[in-house]
Amino acid sequence: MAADLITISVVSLYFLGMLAIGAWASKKIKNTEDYLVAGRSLGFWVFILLMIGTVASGMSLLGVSGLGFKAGWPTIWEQIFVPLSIGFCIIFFGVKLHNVAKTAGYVTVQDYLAQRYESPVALRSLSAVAGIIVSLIYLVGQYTAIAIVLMWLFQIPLWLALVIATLVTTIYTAIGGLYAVAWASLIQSVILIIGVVIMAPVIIFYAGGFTHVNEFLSNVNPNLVMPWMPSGAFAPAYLVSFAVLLMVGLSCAPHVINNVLAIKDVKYFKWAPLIAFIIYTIAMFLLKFTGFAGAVMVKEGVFTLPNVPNAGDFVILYGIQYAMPIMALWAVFAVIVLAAVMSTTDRLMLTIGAMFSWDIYKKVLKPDADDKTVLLLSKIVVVLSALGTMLLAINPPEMLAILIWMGIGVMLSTFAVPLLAGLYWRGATREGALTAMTLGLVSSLTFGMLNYIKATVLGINFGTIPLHFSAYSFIIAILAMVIVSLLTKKTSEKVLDDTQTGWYISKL
Amino acid sequence: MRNGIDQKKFISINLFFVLYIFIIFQVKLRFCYMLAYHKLIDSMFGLPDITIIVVGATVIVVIAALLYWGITFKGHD
Repeated sequence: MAADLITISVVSLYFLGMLAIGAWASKKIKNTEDYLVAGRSLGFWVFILLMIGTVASGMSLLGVSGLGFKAGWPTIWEQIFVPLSIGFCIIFFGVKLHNVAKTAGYVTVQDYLAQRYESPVALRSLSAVAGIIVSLIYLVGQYTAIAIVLMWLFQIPLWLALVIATLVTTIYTAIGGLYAVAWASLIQSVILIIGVVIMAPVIIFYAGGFTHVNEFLSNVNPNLVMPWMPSGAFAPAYLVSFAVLLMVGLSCAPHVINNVLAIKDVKYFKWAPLIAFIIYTIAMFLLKFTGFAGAVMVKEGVFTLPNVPNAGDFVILYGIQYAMPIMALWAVFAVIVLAAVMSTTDRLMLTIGAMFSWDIYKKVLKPDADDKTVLLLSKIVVVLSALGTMLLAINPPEMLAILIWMGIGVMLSTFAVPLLAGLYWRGATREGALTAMTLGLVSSLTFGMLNYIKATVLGINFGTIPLHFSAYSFIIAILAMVIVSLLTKKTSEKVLDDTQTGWYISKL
Repeated sequence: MRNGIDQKKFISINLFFVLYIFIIFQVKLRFCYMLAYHKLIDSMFGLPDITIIVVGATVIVVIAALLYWGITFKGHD
């Protein structure tokens, strides 16, 4: 398809709207705390939609339907455990972190780790560097998704699509900080949810209806309508590791967990998990069904996908093109996809900026740096992270979902154990956290790479391991934390009390 | 434990999830395959019974757990 004037106008209008939010938000920025945690002033719905927007990534529209297209119903668990990650984050991390952060003045989750483990330099630096690495991996997936949409819509080369996407997202994020990201996410999430609820049923209808889609898939391969595959990926054992990966891994991702530091009132945590789960699950189920419908339409020869390695990621775009043959609607849909992708991209860039300027520069390299310098550095790092990942996204991976899951897997292995142990186990020590984080990061990057290239090492074929690779590195991190903590000096009781460490969620 | 969820509830939520995952993926597995082969329930939406049962039950359990959290959480600032 080629873009016409209406398409260009609709997409331009959306981009201009985002830039306007950035300009408005920039006037509210007085200091670094305003920039990185929006002055801890986020309201209920802004917070919920920020959480949804942060979790709803490039995978949400393109990857989710792409995976449904490829593997059918056994992948539906993704649509339960990803929405549940918001609730997990709020319940198991958010309540306690928010309570401690309010008195201790945390700006990032690294502030918590530094205090809890009495490690203002080593653990903070390691955690920030690890956070930047995993956020960059994740960010590459987001830019790939943006590029797919712009290439499809405007028939432009990949590099140009990436430049446009980077430019718009970077400008409003860099100038407006978390205020801009939060309000942009509110609008982006509303666009995403309404758009999916309206458009997904149309595609399913054009594929012959929900029952026809399932019956067709069942005739092609009965496993496509089962809740799990008999073996390999999406077999029951794999699904357990998949559930942990999505629910725990996403919830402790730096760009997700930092949001809990920015809310105005902890009472918002009462109903936020349920509301976020219901809203997000409805939208994600519909998206997955759209992938199923796309599979039927492709197999029935209604349309053909482009001959590219990641063809499955295009299925929803071609589905909407067929079901709604009005170009203006394609432009609206493109805006929906862009909204989903950009709502994660901006938060990731801001998180990278925060981890570098606040945790590495201000807290480690130059503690006497003034607020103005830290703020400026945050903005510079936001721009640099966008440019760096844009270059990495020029060669996109075969399946968008695989790259994004790899990012989540590394997040799970690196951050989940030090955070959960720090919050709930008084025996967890600095050395235990350092070892768990290091081994979790290194082993997950190694296993992830070996799994991706399907390598055989020491007689183990990493392409056919029964669990998601992150499960093994997660177990290594748990063992490292327990063993090393038992062998090393305990954290002082005062710090444990100050950080509300113990086997409870909330305590006064 | 004045506010929020107390220790007993916290432990019970954890145990509940662990137990649930165990039941679904270890014990129910055989039962559900049996249902699939014998077709004890009429299929809905062109789906096998086990898909309806397992996916539906999981969504209901999650909503119930989050509802329980909302009802019991008091919060404080």
